Amino acid sequence: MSRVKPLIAIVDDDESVCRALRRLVRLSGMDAEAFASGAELIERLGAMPPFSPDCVVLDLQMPGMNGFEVQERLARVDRELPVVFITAHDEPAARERALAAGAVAFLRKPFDQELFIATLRAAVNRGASGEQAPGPSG
Amino acid sequence: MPVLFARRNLARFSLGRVSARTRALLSVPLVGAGYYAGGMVGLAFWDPASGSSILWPPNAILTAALLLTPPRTWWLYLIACLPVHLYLPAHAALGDPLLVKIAEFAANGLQGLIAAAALRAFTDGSPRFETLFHNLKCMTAFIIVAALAAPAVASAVAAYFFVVSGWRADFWSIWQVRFFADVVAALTITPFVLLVVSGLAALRQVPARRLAEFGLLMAAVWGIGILVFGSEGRVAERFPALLYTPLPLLLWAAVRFGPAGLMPALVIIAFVCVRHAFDRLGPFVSQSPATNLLSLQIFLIAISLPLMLLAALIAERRARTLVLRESEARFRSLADTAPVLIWMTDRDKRCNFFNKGWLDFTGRSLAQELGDGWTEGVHPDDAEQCLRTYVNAFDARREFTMEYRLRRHDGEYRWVLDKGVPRLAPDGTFLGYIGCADDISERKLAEERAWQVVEAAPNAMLVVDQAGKITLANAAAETVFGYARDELIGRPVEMLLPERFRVHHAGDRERYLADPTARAMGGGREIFGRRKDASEVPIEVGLTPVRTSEGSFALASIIDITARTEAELAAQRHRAELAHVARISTMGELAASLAHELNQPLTAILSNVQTAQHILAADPADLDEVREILQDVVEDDKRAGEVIRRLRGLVRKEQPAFAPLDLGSVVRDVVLLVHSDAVLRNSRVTVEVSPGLPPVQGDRIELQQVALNLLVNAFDAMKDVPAPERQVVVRAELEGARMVRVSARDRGTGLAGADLERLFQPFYTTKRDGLGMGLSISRAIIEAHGGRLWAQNNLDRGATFAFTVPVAEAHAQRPVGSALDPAGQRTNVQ
Repeated sequence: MSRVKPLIAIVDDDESVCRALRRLVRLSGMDAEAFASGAELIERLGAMPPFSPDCVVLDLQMPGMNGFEVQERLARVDRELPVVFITAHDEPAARERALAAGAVAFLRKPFDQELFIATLRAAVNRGASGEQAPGPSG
Repeated sequence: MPVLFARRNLARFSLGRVSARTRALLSVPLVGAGYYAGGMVGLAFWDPASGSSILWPPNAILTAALLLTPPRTWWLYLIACLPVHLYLPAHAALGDPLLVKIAEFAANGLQGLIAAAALRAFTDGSPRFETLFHNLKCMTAFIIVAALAAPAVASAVAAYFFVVSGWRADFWSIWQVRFFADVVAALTITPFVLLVVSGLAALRQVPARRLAEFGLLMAAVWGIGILVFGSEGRVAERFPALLYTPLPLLLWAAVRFGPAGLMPALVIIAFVCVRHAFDRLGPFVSQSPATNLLSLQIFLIAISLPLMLLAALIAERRARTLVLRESEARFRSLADTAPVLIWMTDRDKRCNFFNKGWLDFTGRSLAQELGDGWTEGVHPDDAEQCLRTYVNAFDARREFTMEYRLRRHDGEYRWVLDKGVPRLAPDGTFLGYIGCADDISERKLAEERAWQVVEAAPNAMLVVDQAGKITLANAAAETVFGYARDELIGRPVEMLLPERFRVHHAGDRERYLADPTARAMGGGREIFGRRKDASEVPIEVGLTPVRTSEGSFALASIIDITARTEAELAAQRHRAELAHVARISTMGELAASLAHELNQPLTAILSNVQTAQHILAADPADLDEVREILQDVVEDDKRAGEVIRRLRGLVRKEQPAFAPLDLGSVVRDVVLLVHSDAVLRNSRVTVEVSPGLPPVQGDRIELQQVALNLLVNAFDAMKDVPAPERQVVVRAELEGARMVRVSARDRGTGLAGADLERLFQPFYTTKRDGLGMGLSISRAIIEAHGGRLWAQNNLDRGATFAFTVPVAEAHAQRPVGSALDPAGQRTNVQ
């Protein structure tokens, strides 16, 4: 279901990154909620009131559940929920894996904010239209 | 003759074969029998015309008996002889009254008592034949007391009694006949009895030839006696010189056989003379009976006296010569068997004796060495000094000792130690020198070798006496301290120490000598010596006590450890470099995670700044939002700065510097450093720091490196463990009272037993692309801190690596490394 403002869920164990990205997303006209870990997001997804983001931004390297694990869990719940990975590590293997698993994009930190917002919008649209094609990556 | 013979036999029988007590008991009747026999002999030669006998043996025999027995037994002999005297047949036949006989016996006894008592006193209680007659003084005493005085007194007493009792009228005639009869008997019979009793045992030792000679001589005396005294009276009148013919034989007996030969000869002559005179033969028959008797008696006395004195003199001389000869022989035997070289000189410095040892040593004859011949064997280089010492000492009558080389029989010159002392006669006259030399070549060689060893030793060696003066220094000592040897000998050893050590050293020295043992000097402290140019040199000193006859010394063996110290410093620098390389390597391993650490704040900063730009571009700009953003940017920047700081600390390359630090903060810093790496590896790190941990003395960088090494290893250990189980617990806590322990406990697979120690060896690694230096360097670092690094398997799973570092106070004394100045020279840290 689409709404006026897309809702972005941001998952990163680094608090300042979360805060900065949330700020950025809100400034771009979208809503954002930040979670410190994948477990928090999963829990929130299953709790009331219902929480249904249009896109999830996932940090790859996180203590506990890493980004891939979170993606798997989300796919079980909602196969069409778009995921954008953000990471400081640049490993080709990780990128391949991420995209093969259906990620919309794989962004390397630090990234340009315009690119980031554009990626998010594309991801949201795809999710709304149900497409699974991979979006731009940087 | 038969009587005498019998008595001699009896005497021999009583000597030594039975016990003393039995002997004493037997001798009483023996003396009685002798008295009786003597009385019979005297009566046999009784001259009724003169009313007297030529000689009266009983008194002489009694005197001999009293001389030979202890005074406390004398009464026994007197008691035994009294009845004999009273009942002598002749006496009875003569019809003398009992009182007269008793008086006579009393006089006889008195004669014996006087003689025995006086001679006993003279000879200190042992009047034997040897003591009385082999000595001129004692012979003289015997003659005067026993042969003259005692008879004179006894005769006077008897004569007095006879006159006073009215039995006789003429005092002097009685005295005279008794006196001369007693004197003749005393001179001939008494010594003969003493000879028989005490001298016969000696006969056993006389060689047969001598006995034969003696026998022949006695036979000759007898023969001459018969010839002279047995001839008709007219022959003697025509040839008065005949009287002297026995004299040469008697003289020969005295000279050849001493008193022991003379006495029997005198007895023979006396007997022959008396016997023939009684038969009206010989030269003593031409006058009146009384005159004849007196002449005979005087003749016998006259030949006995001088011959006895002569015999005693000769015996004395002979004994003295024997003693001297024996002493000489003893000396010679001692000198020749002594294992040293003995020499003697006379008064004019010339040698008159060399012992067998000397002659064997030099291989020369006595004739060659006597006088100054011995000087030919002295080494030419030593001769002058040797002679000078000898002559100077000789002139000063002083002892001397000298060392010189003497040529041995094989031509080799050997060092000898020669000592000479002056010889003095008992009266203090200087007689010359006597000395003794010993071959000390071996000792000198040993000394030489010992000195060569000391001289060649690479260590400086000094010998210091109790007063602290250097008495010996080897070549290495000159090198180490820069002094010439003669600048060291005799100087106080403190001059080789820097000023600040001198005060204590004197006290240390005394304490050492009070309890000297072989030990290192300094008690573990660094010590320095002072060279001549006032520079200081780091040294190690070992002390050994040396005790000699000249006192106690200390031998100091000194090693200049400058090179070693520099090597140690170089090694330390090496280690530090290696540690640095290891840190760089670790940094490389952590690069990815460090990049991640930096990336997070950078991402946030970029995002925030761009957001802020957007906000500012809007109209109106939300400045509050911008301020918030900027605040976040500042925080993120600081965060990045911290990462850089930690990183910089990791790769720093300075020399280690020790200071008190908090291990807890070190551990926390390290954990932050590896945060991203932990995340990357899906490992959790828990930090437990005990509150109130005391500071430790150490280098922050190095300890951080070690903790980092342990943590990274812990992560590696768990890489095959399922992610949820990967946990590392890092603890910092007190161990005991003096150490702080940091441990990293993982939940990996643990370590094989052999690996527990092998891990710490250089180049040992279980990582595919690891250097293998991390743990060995870590251990070197911890050991340099005075601590310990080890690994052990946990009881449940995994392993724990831990290290300890001493708490700061315990480590205050020895700041290794802090005393280094950049030039690498040590400075004093006292």
